Amino acid sequence: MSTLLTIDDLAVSYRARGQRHTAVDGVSLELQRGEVLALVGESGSGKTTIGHAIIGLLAAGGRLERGSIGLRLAGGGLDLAKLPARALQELRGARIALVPQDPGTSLNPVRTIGASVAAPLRIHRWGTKEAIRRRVVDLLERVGLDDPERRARQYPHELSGGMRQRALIAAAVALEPALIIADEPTSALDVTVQRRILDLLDDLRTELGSSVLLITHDLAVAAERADSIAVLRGGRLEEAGETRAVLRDPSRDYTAALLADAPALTDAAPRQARPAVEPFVTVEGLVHEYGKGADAFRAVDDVGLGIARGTTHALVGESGSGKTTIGRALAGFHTPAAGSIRIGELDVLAERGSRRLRHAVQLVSQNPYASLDPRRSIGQTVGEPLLNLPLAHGGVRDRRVLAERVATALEQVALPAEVAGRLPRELSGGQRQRVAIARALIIEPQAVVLDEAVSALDVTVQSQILDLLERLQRELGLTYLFITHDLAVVRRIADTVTVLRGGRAVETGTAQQVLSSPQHEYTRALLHAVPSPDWLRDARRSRRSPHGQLEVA
Amino acid sequence: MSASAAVLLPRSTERPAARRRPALTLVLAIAVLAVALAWAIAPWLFTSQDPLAGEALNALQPPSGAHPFGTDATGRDLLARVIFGAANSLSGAAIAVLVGLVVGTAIGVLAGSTGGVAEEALMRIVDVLLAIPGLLLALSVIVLLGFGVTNAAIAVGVTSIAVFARLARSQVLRVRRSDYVEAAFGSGGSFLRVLWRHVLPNSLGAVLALAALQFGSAILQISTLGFLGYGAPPPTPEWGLLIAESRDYVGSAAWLTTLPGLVVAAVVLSANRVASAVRKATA
Repeated sequence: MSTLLTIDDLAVSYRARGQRHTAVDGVSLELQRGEVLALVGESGSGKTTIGHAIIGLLAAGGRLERGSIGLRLAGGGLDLAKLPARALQELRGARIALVPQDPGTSLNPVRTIGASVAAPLRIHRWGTKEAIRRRVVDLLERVGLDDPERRARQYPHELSGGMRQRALIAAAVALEPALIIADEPTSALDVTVQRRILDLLDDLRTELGSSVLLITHDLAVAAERADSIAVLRGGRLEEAGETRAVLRDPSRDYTAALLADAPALTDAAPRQARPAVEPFVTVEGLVHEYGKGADAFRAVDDVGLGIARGTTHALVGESGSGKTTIGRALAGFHTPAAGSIRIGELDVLAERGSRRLRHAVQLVSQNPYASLDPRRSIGQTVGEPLLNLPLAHGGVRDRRVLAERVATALEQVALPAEVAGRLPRELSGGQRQRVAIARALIIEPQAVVLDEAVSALDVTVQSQILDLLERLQRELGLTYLFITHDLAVVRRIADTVTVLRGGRAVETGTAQQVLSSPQHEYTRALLHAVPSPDWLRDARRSRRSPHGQLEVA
Repeated sequence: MSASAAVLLPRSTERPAARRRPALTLVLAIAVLAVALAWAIAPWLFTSQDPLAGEALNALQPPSGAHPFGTDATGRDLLARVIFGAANSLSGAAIAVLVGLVVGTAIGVLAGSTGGVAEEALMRIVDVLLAIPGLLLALSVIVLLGFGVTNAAIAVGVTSIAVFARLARSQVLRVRRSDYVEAAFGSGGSFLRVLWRHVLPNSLGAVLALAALQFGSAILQISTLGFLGYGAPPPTPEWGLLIAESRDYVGSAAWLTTLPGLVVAAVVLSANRVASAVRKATA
């Protein structure tokens, strides 16, 4: 076993608004030949920056402050930090390859898949045109794309996300690089696809003898796939070492907290089933189609569900399963082709757009970075629903009363009152999502549709928001429809579950039934795909985190 | 923050460190525009010469200490005429931009926010405006309105309506699809309220940048109309007219066309530089 990559005392800074901020501060790492090193940490921890520093592609304004990045190849050692741009260009694609995060935007939309995969081969003058063409087809076949000849001629929009990520991996391994930097390679993909992509990366690594630097926010993925692990926080190295040793017995509190918050690893029992009562929210025979005539695509096909008052119902499924369409129909944002939706006594479809519907149901959307108007202060955003309502229906016009109500709403979501004067960009993702929740709750709705409301957040923040939602449910008697692709989150928060696939409900039941003894094969596949190594669960169970995140209220 | 910035634009590491201060070119551009504006407001402060009366004895003098820009065929000081012309040219450009900005943005916002038949109808009208060459359209409008500085400016403004309308519509469409506009509707906002509170403030940045850009090209277009004789009647000092009147002397007295031409070029370039700064600041 020999060392391929040695990072010593690396520091990187970025310039933003005229000031330099340190993004990576004195990080030292080692990656052995043929092994996987996982860089884990929350957003802003500097893990992506380290990846970009190695390959010499720091964003504009980025600068290597100090340190060395040693790469030991067959011909001798190099310090990538001191290498001139030309020489680095020679290495890129040939010796070091990058698998980017988002397959949706990482392929040039006007070039064929074949041309994109051939790019590194052409740039490094690998062979004749014909040889390259054959190699591309081989590569596409190797990464598991069916009918590679045809795939090579297709354009990115004709492929699914998972297929695009396979094509990107094909391009990355085209020249059999010694080091593959995989920057969140599966974060934008569904769990079942994620598992297959990670398997593929593993296979290729063994086959080519390459090393992989796996950048991920998902501790479970790192635990399952990496030989060694480095935990980063705020640009500094918290701890590093052999994966099992680090995760079985973390020496730093931060690692322990990450471990405790990782929902995929939760082994707590799902919520206890409550006695069946008259459902408060009922959806019956819901059908929705996009497009018209022969092109019509049936996004939701005869789905029904019932949610008891004060409980949480989770809609689970992969992208394209129709879960968001159902949630939006329930929140009154569009009218389905057929079916009925009732919240208590209210007929949602008849009341579409009315004030009464706004009091009955509110929507919290996935991306807290997009759901707040960047030009309006937090106070204005949270108070806006009250300004929209007529006085007779609980609207508020008086400035002082409005400010008080906003302060109360912010307090409810555990934000300090002075946040009201700030702009969204001054807040973190978790704080923004709290603001979005406060805006939904200020008009005191009875039901809330949470559309992937914690998916864009870091695990510790995710855990805090889930705690907050549970507390609000207890205090205010709220009924949640929780839309998610993450079964671990379901285990944490749901009373009842509907599993969706291709617009149809394949399984419905209490969280306990569905998660412990899944009846449908698709549910089992979903459960199986969640990365959650047994050794880690066992280790966690025996240790009992001091953070108390294991017990679900 | 840094991690997300790092994902945006992977570019090779360093750029020169001289970006903290406002760029020198921007300072220069603002200075040029300020001088031009001062000329327009108080031309008499900058020259003691009369822009309209000249002495035939002094005709066609090359640039000198007494006449920095030289004199024209009737002995009038060219610098004085350029300085006094600023008012006509700049106010014309301002009117032109205002017409395009107000009418174009109104059409664009209306089309982008209502959708359906109204959008189709409005945007087809815009297409028709775009299909006619700008100069021809401007000339047609002038023929309808009559000659004159203001009318020429309005004509130039009409030619830019289509560009403003299309940009405003695209911006409104972008903002309308955003999550926060949906959230605003979800919290019970009415159409007009959401339009006023969220859509307009977030879509006007690019439109204002275009207005600054259009200011430069309006000066050029008004000069063109002046050159063709559709703008201000002689002997009114106006930049386009100055160049037009001097075209007989290009061979013998090149300064008569070159120097006013350079002034126009400097002001147009400055307006463009400021426009790009506005665009960056609002992006």
